[in-house]
Amino acid sequence: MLPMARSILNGLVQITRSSRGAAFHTSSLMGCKAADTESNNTGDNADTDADATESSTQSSVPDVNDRTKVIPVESSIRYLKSAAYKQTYGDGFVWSQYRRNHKGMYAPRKTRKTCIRQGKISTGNPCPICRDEYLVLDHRNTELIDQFISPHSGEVLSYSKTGLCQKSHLRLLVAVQRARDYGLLTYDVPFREYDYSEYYGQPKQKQQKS
Amino acid sequence: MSLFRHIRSLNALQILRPGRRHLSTASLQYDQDPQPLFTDAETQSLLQSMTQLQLDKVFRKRTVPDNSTEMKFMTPDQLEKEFVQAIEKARHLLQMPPIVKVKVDTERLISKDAALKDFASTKYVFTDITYGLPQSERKVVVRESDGTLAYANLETVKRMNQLYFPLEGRKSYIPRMFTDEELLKSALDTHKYEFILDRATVQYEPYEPEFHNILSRVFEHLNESKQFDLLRSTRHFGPMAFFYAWHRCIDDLLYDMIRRDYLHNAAELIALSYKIHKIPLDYRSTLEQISALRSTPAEKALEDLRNSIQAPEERQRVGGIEQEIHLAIGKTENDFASDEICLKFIEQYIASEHALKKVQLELAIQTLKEVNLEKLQLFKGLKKAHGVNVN
Amino acid sequence: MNSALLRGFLNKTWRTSILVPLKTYVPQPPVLLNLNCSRNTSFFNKLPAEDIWRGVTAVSNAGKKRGRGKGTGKKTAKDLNRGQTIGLGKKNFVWPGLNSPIIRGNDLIQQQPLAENLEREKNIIKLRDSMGGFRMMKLNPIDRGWSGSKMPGRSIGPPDAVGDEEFESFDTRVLENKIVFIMKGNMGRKRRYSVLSVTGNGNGLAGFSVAKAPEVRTALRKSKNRAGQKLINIDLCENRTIYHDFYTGFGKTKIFCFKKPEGYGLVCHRAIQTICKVVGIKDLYAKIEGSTNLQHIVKAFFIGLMRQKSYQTIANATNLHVVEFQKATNGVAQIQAVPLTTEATNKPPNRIIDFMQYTLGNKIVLKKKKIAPFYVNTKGHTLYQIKQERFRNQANVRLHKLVNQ
Repeated sequence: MLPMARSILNGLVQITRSSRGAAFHTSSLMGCKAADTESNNTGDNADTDADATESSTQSSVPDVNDRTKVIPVESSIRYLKSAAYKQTYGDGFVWSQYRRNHKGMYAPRKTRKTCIRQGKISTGNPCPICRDEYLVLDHRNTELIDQFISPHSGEVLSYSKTGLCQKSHLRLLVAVQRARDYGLLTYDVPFREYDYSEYYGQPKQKQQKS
Repeated sequence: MSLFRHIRSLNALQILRPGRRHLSTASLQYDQDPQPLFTDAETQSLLQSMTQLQLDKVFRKRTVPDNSTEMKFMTPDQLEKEFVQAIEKARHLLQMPPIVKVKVDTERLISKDAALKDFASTKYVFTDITYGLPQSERKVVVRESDGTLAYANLETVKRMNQLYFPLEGRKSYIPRMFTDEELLKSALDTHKYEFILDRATVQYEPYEPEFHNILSRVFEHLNESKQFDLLRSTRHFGPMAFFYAWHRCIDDLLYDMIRRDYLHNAAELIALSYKIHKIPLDYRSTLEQISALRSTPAEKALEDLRNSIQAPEERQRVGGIEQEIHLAIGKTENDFASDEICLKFIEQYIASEHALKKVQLELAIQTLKEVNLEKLQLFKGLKKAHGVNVN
Repeated sequence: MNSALLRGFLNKTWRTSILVPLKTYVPQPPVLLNLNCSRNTSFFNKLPAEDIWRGVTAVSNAGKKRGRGKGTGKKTAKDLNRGQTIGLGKKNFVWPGLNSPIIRGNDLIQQQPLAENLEREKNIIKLRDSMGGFRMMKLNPIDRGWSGSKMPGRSIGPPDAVGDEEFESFDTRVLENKIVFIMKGNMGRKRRYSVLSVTGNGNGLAGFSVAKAPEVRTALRKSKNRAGQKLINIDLCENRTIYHDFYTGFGKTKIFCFKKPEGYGLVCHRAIQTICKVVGIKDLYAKIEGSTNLQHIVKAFFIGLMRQKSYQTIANATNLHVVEFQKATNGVAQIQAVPLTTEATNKPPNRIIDFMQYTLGNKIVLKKKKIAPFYVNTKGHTLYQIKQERFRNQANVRLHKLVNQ
């Protein structure tokens, strides 16, 4: 959180506390650890001041839109193999149950620039990658990347089909290229035709001639 | 900007940090020029026969930008032409990457003009970009900043060639897969042999030491994992067999061939190793006998294609019940005859001092013999039952 | 009960606006000095609850024409009985025989007050507040229809089971839902809802039907069930597409359908898309020429699907081999059908038959030239292109840099 915002919140909390006392806490905490803080509260007011602000920001219900936490790739890879993933997406692709919202008949040609602004989801319909924070695009996460590659053309599927936001799409492109570079993802290598004479035939003849 | 930051942070998390590490060198390398033996007509035909030609593997579905299909009406004559073309195409796709010795860079000076020293702070590379020249004949010269004019080294030549006449699939930098030991190892462990080899053929020239190194690494790994079938009917099977024959480690491949009932291939492999190491054993007569009884892979594939278009009733008329029996058993009389010869040859090899894994091979031969005997009895029984002549 | 309660409810809310408090149940003693005029009848006790609610929730005729009273803002009647039970009220009291037994053990239970329940009133009001507005049903974006909250394109589930026969793995989709009128001798314009729907199991079994009913729901059900009774078997090529390109028509509707390779998707009219999904066709391109009347499109497409010929029939009819060339397999010939009779097959046909021409019934598809946008030949566009040229590889370079960081 920004330092400015934090100080403002601190101030606000103090104002409300001085006027309302304990009532503020119970309502703001929504029952989560309510009993705990209340018992703290009744004891000494001055001491809990700093504590209460801390707990009110941290222990409140975790914000679903918060994306500041960095999820390591390893846990993402594990997630893709888990039952939770299976239950959410079934056998389909991550993007197959996503549909863009747009006005009019035709969707805008490009998808939105990004779904996450200032560490928070800034839209009601985040793209398939942004909506699930445990989907991490990385070259090691081949199982996820594979879902975005066409089995027929071998190319990365367009964002008009998958609905990824521009930022995620770029991340996907980077991950795919890296995975191919690292040999984690196989693809059909173009056929190289050898001209045998270049390696054997002609030099010999030349030697004979000379 | 934040994307850059994100990717940088991802980089920091990476375990497989691509470093400047180099691949460890393979233990087996060609000690002398393998070219004359490889290009020899007899060797080539042996290698091609061993590679086999499974059409559905050669023409497997590949990723293409446009995977559309076309339907056509065809007369049998047109179809026949089409089949011949397909076989030709398959043979082309199975073209083996050449095996050449490692080329050593030699410095070839043209002139040394001291007067030109420091006329520029960088080198100048001059490339002959005449259209249609083969890559090996393209002249590339370098004017150093100290005034020397010399032929460019191999690396520069390759780079210039790629710059002006790009080869599809080749990268201007070496893929990390080939520079990082761990990455190559993980690729090998997941049996992506064909992919690695395909990529190496595109990325490297056959005379480069890295190419030799990667090929040896793959073949050595294959010899341990024994997944030879992955390379069968690809362009890399021939070089692989050649590699094993050269380095006297054909036993695992031989075992695999016997187990899969490719006895003629096994005999050919032994013959190849005799030929390479100049072992004074007569293998030519055996090979001749086998080739008289068996058709080459290309002929066999063509035959199969032709059979596939025969209408069911026609097939009855032409081949009759005999062909049906052959289809059911998977072998013909000639095959049984050639198997006999092969078995004799292989047993001779196992008995000699060249075989290293004698027990294993003998066991395999024994089981195969039993299976073959059963098949032969069934074959004869079927023929008798249908009233077809048995010689 | 209901109207009485409602009266109380309205009474409370409107008290501010009524100057004279209504006290209908307490007779006022006639006092000369303080004359209170009271009326015992009003629309509260004259009208039934339904009519009173209509007064609150109805939209004027003019408003209805403008589309008011639809969607999220719509008011609905509240059931004021909800959350109330006889015997439990404002005053918390024990009423033997009503909310408690008369005799417990050997004691006769007396009427007696209990502690006041403050929450009760609050809860009832909360419950009533939650009932008010009209709420849209939550729908998965994928299950949305073609347009907005309309029915066409939406799934209405499998047809109802007939006896023991259940329509497993079937799915029905609405294609058309419209109001139709007919003139009746005694009633004049009579309106009904007409629904066209298609049902299928996604594996080549499908049917469609039109049904009319005075109610939308019944029309939907009728159409769905009737479609389930009219199933047609359609052969699918490779379980994903049609066998060959074909032309089909119904009335003034002309459809050209084209077989497409795997991964192509459905590129066609939305009705055909929906039918294809239900039938199990995954790759198809179709172009409609002429009328786009929906019922005609559906009929034409089904006729076309049924009239497909298998490769074997084509081969027999032409006495030629049917061969497929796939670009994905390096253009190698794959024989799809061999003619049964071999006589005279080797003679080249007296004219070259093109497969596509044969299957389209000698019709040739008009391939229109793409019209370039108006600005292509303008000076500004050329300038723009010149300016843009130096950025033509920027995206690739950027990607390359990111990859090799």
